[in-house]
Amino acid sequence: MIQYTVTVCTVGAITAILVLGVNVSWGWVGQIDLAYYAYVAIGAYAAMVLELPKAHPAPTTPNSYILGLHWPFIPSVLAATAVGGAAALVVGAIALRRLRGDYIAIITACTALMLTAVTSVDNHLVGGYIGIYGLAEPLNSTFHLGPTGYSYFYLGLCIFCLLLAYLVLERIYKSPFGRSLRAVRENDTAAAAFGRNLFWLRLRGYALGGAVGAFGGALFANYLLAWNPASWNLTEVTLLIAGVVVGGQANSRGVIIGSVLIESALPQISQLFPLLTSNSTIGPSIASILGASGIILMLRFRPGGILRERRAVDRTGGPASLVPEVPAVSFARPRTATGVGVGTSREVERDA
Amino acid sequence: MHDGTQAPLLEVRGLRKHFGGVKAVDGCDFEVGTGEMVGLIGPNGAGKSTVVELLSGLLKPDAGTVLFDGREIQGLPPHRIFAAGLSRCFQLAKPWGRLSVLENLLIAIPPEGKDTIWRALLTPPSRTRAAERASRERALAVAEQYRLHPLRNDYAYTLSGGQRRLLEFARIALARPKLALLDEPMAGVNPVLQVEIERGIRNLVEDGTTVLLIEHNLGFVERICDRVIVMVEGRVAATGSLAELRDNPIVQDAYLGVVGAA
Repeated sequence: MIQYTVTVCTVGAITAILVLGVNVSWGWVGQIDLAYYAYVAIGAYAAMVLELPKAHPAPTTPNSYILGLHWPFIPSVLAATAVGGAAALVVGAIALRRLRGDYIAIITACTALMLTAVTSVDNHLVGGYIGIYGLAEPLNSTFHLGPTGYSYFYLGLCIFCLLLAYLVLERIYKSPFGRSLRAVRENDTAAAAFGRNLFWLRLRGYALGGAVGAFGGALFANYLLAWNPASWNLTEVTLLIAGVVVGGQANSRGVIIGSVLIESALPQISQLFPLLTSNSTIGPSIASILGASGIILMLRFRPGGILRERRAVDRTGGPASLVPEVPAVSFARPRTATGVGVGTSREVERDA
Repeated sequence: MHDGTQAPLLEVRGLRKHFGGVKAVDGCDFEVGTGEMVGLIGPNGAGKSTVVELLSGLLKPDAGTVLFDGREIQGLPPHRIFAAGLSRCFQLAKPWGRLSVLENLLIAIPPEGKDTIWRALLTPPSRTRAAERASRERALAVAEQYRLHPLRNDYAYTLSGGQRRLLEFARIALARPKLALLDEPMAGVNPVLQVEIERGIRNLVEDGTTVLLIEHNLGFVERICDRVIVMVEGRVAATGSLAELRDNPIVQDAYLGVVGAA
């Protein structure tokens, strides 16, 4: 039971990293990236082919893979992150040429489908539909932990990586770069009129998202010790986007909560239903219905998500001379004294 | 003011933009001198707003040249034109809605290439904080000037129409352009805020910004502008002071007559 919990938590931490990457492209920049799981997969493959020794295809197992450099774990993961970012840079350079959202969604979906097709058919690139397997447990040649100890260790490593990704992304979010990205999301015409190069900003945001995805993918591959093309499809991306929507678009803490709810908690709840009804297939169906209803209710009643996007506020009092003049101009609607209070969901609806 | 000896800040020659059969701008020529405060008037559909879109780079002209500060800028993307020192406010205010008013103001401060991922990650936190504090102080000072200080922490989408207008001005004041294109800043604004906006425009000019103002309120134009350019059917029909132009038959026929009858 404890071992099971550790498994759920490890996958949950990795999924949370993946959601953070989706949050960059969908939350910060506002572009639907359906190729996201391709970067996760590229990160996974890149880490594996860097860490594994050279492939020795036998007549019975004709599949092989490229590279096989036998690199250590940490450089492999870092390189895989860079490879994912570079791949996103290439795809983004094509998809973001036209600045319309639907164009981006179509191009990225096509890219994902093509990459799945290529990787599953070509036996030499990454082993065809069987994929790659046989990775040694990373870092365990140093620590020599038993299976239980190692699972704790890898959980800790994943949580550490999640924390790292969170801190790095928070820093970028609050920086002028993050602010520029959000300006592009909110009104690209105005952002361009205030000196923002839309294509270049969107492309950098896209590549950053891809790099985070590849980082998560590399950790995932090192956890599963195997990876094949069947494990990545559009449903996975949809679930990640659902996590962002439920958790709170552009709020890193929110999307982590969202991913835990959608990707970790919901499947666990679904396993309880068969115990109640003796019908073994009813669980996943009820979970899907509950999950989907939850998302719809969320969008209807709290479109900003569980935790709303945070905005920069100024907590200094400001010149007192100004306060009496306020009613003369500020006649729009009553608001809190400081204005710091979180807006209600109704405000979002009014805006929409 | 423009003395005629110095090269103009903005020189538009033969500017043309057709949308299918509609000749929105059809061979438009005019110039704006450094430090001038010029009104661009004309009936609805004369092509005034299209000129603003063409000058700011949101539309690409079919023909013609735009010489700004000694450089040809026609057809450049908007961010390059902004970097050259030309900035504009929108006829329909375009705030960045789900960002706070303060953030809206911070974005208007030209980033000068500092908004990169590497800087975000590699600059030491103390330097980042110092730079951020300096930007905030500037933004808050301008917010105070435009009476947005009490609203600084609100989401920009909660602002009223008039407050959004003030925000547009405040953004331009922070961008500190050489030339500001103001597209109907008074549209849909109540008299109290109109006074604020007039003050805002004068502030911009005092800060050394040259202003090209599109406006239908002729009383306001007369009060504030040195010179007006009258556009009719995509071309410049006349230029001069509004007092002179009131007697011009083309202008009367095309514009003032319509206003007088309304």
